[in-house]
Amino acid sequence: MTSSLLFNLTTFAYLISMLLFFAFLASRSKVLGTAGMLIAYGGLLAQTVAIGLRWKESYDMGVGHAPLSNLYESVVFFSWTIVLIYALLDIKYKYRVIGAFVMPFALLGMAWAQLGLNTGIEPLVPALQSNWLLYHVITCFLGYAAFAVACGISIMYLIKAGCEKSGECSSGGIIATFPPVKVLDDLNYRAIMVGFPLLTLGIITGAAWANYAWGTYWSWDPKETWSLIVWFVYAAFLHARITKGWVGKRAAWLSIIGFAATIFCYLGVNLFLSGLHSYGGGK
Amino acid sequence: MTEIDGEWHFFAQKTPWCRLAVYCVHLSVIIIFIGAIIGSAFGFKGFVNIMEGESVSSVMSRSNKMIDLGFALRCDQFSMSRYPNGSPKEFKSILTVLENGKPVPDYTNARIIVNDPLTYKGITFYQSSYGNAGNYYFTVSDLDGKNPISLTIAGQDSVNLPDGSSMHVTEATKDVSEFAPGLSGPAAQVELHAPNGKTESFIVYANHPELNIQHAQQHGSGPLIHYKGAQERMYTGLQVAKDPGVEIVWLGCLLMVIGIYAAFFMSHRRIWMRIHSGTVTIGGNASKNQAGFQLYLDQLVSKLKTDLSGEKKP
Repeated sequence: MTSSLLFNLTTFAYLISMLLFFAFLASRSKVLGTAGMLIAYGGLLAQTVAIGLRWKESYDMGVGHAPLSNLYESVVFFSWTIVLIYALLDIKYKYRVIGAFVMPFALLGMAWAQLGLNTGIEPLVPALQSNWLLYHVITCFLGYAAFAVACGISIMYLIKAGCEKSGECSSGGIIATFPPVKVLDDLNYRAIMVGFPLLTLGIITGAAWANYAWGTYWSWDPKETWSLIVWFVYAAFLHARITKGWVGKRAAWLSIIGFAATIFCYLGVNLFLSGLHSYGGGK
Repeated sequence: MTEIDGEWHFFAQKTPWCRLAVYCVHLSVIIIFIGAIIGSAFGFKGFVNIMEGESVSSVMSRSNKMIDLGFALRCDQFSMSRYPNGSPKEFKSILTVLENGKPVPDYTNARIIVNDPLTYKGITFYQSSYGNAGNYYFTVSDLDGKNPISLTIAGQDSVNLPDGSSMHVTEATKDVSEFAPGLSGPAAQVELHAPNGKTESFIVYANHPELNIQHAQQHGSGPLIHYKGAQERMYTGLQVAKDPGVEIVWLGCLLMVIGIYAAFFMSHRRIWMRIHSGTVTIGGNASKNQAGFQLYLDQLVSKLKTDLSGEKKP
């Protein structure tokens, strides 16, 4: 069993899971929802084993390092964190329908990584040879994943709120299976409440590492600037919610804008701008 | 607990201080700024290149001021190792701190690599870059090998050729076989700027003159360049920093993390209870997550009911 075989299996599982969730949306058959969820869990398990195996394989090759060192590995890890956070959400709240809005992100990540990116295990360049790599990448990506889940929930909120307002919502339709708008709004807030401290930790561990390796904790590198922008967007979300009572539609839009900034911070900066994080680039 | 007119009043609360957490978070931002200001006022960031075997006692700051270190730093050796696939594995400098010209015992032959700096008297040296300031040797002639001249290029310098073009070395290696299997010996990548503005980059070899001739012939007129090897002289490039404000910045960061945790995940919970002529009244309040607190209070009430009814039974 190799990690690449398991990663292919994971991608396949996420595809089937997503299709089952779509079928669940269309048919409202509970069995399909449960099956989709079980396959998502199976995929998550396969992916967890695969990441561990890739870690071990890198040691067998004599270039041992955590599998978080290039764009391929980070996209795979991002997928993993998205499904992990969704699984935790499912265990706690059991709203199966959310899967139809979250699994496509995970599948997109895995499919792009497996088909479009260089999957080879490469030795670690000197700049990345540090334990900070692990803490920095894990905190950042858990934060990103929480924001991804918040974004999916906000899209559901806007669909549901829009159709309730226009009064065209038939009680038998797909949208009726969505959780109530109040619950969606609350889940959006909770996901960001988890993501924001993680992003804060991610930025701080990055600053600590930069200070340890280069003697500057902040140098206005594009990645640093964009992560600060993302941090400000979500800080604005929290301030608007707590002090100005911005809930519902405006909160949902802020969450979507925040995630767009997150994606640019993650991929846009790596692919279009150069800087301290260029080893995460497409090549 | 108080007693008023035969009524018993109980009051209990948990983590009242977490209401302050939000101020703590905003204060932490100010602390980080204070740390940053102290760092830029009393610290410096600089850069220095040190040749192998030489020492420096001052560095150039980012604002182009020379800063005296108060001691000297010698580079004993710089080395670089590669993975089998050719990508860099380690950049390493061996450094010695000198006080009044004498090595400081614990700072003699200290090894620094990327991600593992050296700190002495509050000043930290980080491995940042490297280079070769040695000489490269070439022979340049006409296409048919006539009029040969010896050419020495020092480090990154640019020299003029007889035909008016200028040339410099972009990269050189002692053994080309790791880049081009089948070939051997030293090779250098050079860049040629012709007088007509054309720029050309190509590789010249020491052990393969036929390739150099082939290239020059394709080029048409020459010049014909042969590489004769290099005398290596490495230097290390060090990032130098002194930041007395950095601890304050970390204090601010720590305060921010604790503050955010307390502000989001802890809540000030209060419970009041009144016992009056056989009836118990309970009230409660939470600063956050009221729904969760309601659940908790309901459980408390039902637990109290079973406990109280259980006591009456015997």
